[in-house]
Amino acid sequence: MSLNPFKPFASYLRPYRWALVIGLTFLLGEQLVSVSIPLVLERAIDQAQASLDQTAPDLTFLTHYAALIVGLGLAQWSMAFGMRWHLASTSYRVERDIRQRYFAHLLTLPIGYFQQARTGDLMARATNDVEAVQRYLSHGFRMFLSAILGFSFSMVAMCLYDWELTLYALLPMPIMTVVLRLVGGKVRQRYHSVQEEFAAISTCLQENLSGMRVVKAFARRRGEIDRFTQLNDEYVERNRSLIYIYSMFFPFTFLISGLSMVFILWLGGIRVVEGTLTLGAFVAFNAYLIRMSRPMMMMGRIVDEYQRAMASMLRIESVLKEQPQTDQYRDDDLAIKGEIEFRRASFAYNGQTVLRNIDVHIPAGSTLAIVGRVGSGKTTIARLIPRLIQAGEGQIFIDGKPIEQMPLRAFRDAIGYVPQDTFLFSESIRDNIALDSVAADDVERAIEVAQLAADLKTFPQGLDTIVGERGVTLSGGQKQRTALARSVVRQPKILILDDALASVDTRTEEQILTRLRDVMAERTTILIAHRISTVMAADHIIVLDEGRIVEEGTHDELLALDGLYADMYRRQHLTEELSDL
Amino acid sequence: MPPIIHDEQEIDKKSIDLRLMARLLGFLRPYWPWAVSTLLLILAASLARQAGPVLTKIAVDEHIVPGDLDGLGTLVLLFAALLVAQFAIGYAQSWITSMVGQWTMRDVRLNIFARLQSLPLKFFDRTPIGRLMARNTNDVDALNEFFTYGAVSLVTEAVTIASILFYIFYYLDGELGLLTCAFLPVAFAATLWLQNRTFQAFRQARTRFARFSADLQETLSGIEVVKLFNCEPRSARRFNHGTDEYLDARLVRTLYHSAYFPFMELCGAALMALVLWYGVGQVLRAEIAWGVLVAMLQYVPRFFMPIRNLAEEYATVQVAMASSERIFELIDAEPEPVGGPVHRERIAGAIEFRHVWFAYEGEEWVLRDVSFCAEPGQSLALVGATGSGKTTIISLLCRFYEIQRGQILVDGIDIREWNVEALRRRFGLVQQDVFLFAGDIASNIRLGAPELSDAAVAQAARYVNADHFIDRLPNTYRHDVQERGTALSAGQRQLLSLARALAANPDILVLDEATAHIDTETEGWIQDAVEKLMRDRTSIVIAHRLSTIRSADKILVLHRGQLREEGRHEELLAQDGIYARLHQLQYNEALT
Repeated sequence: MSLNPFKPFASYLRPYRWALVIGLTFLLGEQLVSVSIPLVLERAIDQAQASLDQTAPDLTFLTHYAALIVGLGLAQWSMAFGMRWHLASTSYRVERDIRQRYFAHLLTLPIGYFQQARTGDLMARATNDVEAVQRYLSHGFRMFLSAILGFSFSMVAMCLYDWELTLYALLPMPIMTVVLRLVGGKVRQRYHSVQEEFAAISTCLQENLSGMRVVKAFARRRGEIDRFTQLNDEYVERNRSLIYIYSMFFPFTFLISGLSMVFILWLGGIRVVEGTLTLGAFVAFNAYLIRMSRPMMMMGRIVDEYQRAMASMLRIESVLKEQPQTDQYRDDDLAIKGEIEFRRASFAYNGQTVLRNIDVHIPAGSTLAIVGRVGSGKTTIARLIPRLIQAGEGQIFIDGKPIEQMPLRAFRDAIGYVPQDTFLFSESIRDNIALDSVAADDVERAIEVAQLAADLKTFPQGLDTIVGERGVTLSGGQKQRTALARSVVRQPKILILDDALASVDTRTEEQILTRLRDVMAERTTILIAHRISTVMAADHIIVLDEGRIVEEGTHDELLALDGLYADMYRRQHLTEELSDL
Repeated sequence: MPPIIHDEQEIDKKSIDLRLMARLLGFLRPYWPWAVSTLLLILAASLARQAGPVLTKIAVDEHIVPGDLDGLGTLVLLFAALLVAQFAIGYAQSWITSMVGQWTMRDVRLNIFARLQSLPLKFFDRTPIGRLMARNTNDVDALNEFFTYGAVSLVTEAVTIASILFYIFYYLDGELGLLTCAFLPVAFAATLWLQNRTFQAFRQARTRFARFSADLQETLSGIEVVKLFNCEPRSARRFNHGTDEYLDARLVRTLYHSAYFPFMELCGAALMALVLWYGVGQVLRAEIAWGVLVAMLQYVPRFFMPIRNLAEEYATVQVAMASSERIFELIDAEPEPVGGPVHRERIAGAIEFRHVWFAYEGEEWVLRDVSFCAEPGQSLALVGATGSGKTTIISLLCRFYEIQRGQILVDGIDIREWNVEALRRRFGLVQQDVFLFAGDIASNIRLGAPELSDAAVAQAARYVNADHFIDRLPNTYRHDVQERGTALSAGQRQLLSLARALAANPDILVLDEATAHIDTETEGWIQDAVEKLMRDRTSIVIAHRLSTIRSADKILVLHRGQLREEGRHEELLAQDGIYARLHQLQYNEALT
């Protein structure tokens, strides 16, 4: 433990420093009060012993002492209450603050960060790790201070009676500390190996569940059960080696603190007989030892909690140290016309070229359609525009300006990107469309454009129907149309539909496109689609293959070319024929 | 490890469900001698631990107060011996308890796992893997807490209270004992009060935790939408609101806890005052000895610890109850049928579908009135657009799902009369997306035939041309399939899965050809392998390769769940119907 167990958390604790000061004051008071109770016992017993010799002893002093103990008890209770409340509530507030700061920071990170970080890992930091910090701040930390104060106060009080006896009584304690330290390292090692085996079990399970079809097809049930059994047996084995040590802890600490009692009984007893120690002091000694043994028993756990909290704090800090995406080009009233130009734009992912030398110019207000096979790079082009991914600098221009120089927030406000995989929040459809920032009338209009109105009528709560796991499950087409409405409602200067109507039937799609044409007049539109019928009317069509533009022109020009596009067109025709058969 | 998102059903059980408890304890049955010895050891350890003050009493009364030091040494040694004994007993007890907990948890996990293996695919279609993972990890963990800490500490603390009272009544003084007992109702009333007051907040805290974690997860998976629509402030607001609410629930609990735990010490002080007030009087009246008073004062602080520990463990028990409910729900799920008595080592390989109707859900028919048959050794090619029902036919043949109407026969026997596993063993299934298990190449080929020798594995690989790439791997057949950097290509995975199917020496090959883009060299090997495999046995293939279709004895053309055309390649082309168009659409590329 470092000298200042607060230090790593100092910046989070600062806002609550007064609560902390009050809590610590109460802690000090509580310890002082509780250290004085054995003193009262000692007085009472000694006085009683003295009065044994009197013929008619006056016992009112007993009532006084008893009342005093109750009074001290009450004082201790109220101070302990104040102490616990202030320290624990501070720890919970700090927990919340860390969590909120962590989340706020995550939101500032660039999208690239989330593509390489694992969701599960980011989640764990916000839950388990933050909790580990909280547990230490509320429990470990309090126990640590109580232990130190309680121990030293008790020791001082005991020394006042008999320092030599105190020394004997405390003799076994260092043994405990040393043994616990030694064993602690082993425990961590073995604990680690147990955790590893547990991970193996989880992996096995996950694999089994994902491969269930294969497991069944190959009648692997027995084999899988055997494999799982083996891992579990190994897990039990590794736990056994941990349990060998672990089981020792409590009986051992009890043994050590019991030895102190034995010393007191023996040496203290002799001193009482010799007359150098009173019976009351003997009782007080015993009381102090009981008080001291408890924090000693907790010491292992305290150290453990501290180490976990430190490790967790590091994990949280490592995310907080990630560089946020800064935007030096602040301009909230960005007015863009919507002209887009790709100049020899290329993009590679994991060393594989996805796009090469794309040259395309999209005049403001016009419609560009992109077609091509799966994996030909269509989506990559779409994602480059709202800067979900980044091409090399100076390859993409908006209104003649490099895209990197656009103020990101305002720029994204001007873009409506509807991806193929729709993401909806588990909220109402209205909230999903409005995202708290759009007027109700506009939402209604967007619903008309996206042809959602008829669907909404079939839902019990209409626009206020909650979607997702806890609500209504929307069909793929309904989800896509909701996502479309979400973009359209913002009247973006540039609208990108990335195969966004793939799950919508052909007739509805046509209706949507007709409506869109009115709404999107004067706006730049990029259409990515599989259906030729969708892209036919575009001002310009490019055909992608393996990341390159292989054909481009209008629908008629491309048909005349009799290449990939014409082939796709014929296939489409066949498909339509098929569906009529 | 994956994050813990509890799909928390609310814990509304206030009290402990006895039936559930009985079922839980049923897991202890195989270990009952250990469980019983644990109980005995708990009792012994507790008696040894609480004997100290009684020894002090004897020391005070027989040696210290009378001033007679003879025999004090013996007493002290006895005390030390008792301490060593409690160490030994306590160690054994804790060891046994933890091991019983481990064994029991292993059994619970194996139980769940075994049950999962026998559930129908339908179950997995609608249950997310994450939820099943949580059963086997979080919920089992909660049970472990219950078995090793919760239940044991309930017993231990109760025994501790009992043994302290035993010593007080038996060795010290009945009246002081009664005085102590008088505090029991007070302490328990306070504990109940705490439970009543905090249970609601406890439940709230758990649901609110689940809610804001779900929120967090949603933001993370939808981060692109959040960024594209600039709704970071909105997400932050929601999250902050969620965590604020969580804080509120936690603070309520903290408030009561802050009052309750020190209250136990107040009880201790009060009892101490009473013991002092009454006990000293009794000593002076010569009703009790000094030693009794001294020992009493030692017992008082020991007496209230167990009670507050009980309060702390109570929450563990509640969590465990909720977890066990979810676990039992899973264990009680309906397994898939094991099938009838028919069980054959080898089969001829005749397949027949007779007027088969099937729907995954209700009346949404995926197959309508499908009939066809394959003679032993024949090869069938299934052709049709996406969603026409090809994959479903394969799944039904393997009896992954139960048909609603009609009959499926293998070798003239209804598949419902076959033992499911015996039947599946006769099939060699090659799926479109090849699933590889962790481990090396050999173990993946051996999947359906674990007893196969290395030589036989290599032979199977050679037969399907998989040896070409395997021999080039750094560790050949010992190559770890999940090793980073040398991931297998789609084509290599297919070859591997062909080898896997062949290794099990099936009588019927069930093949769902992959559509993935494959390099020409590998493509040639796959084609060759598929042709060889089809030649030797009955086969039913969802065909994407023209070569496969051409060499098929019979092509079945599915369209919207119905069998529309049937025949050989040339015949069907001549019909100029669905097949002719599908052919142009899908296999054009292979032509060019």
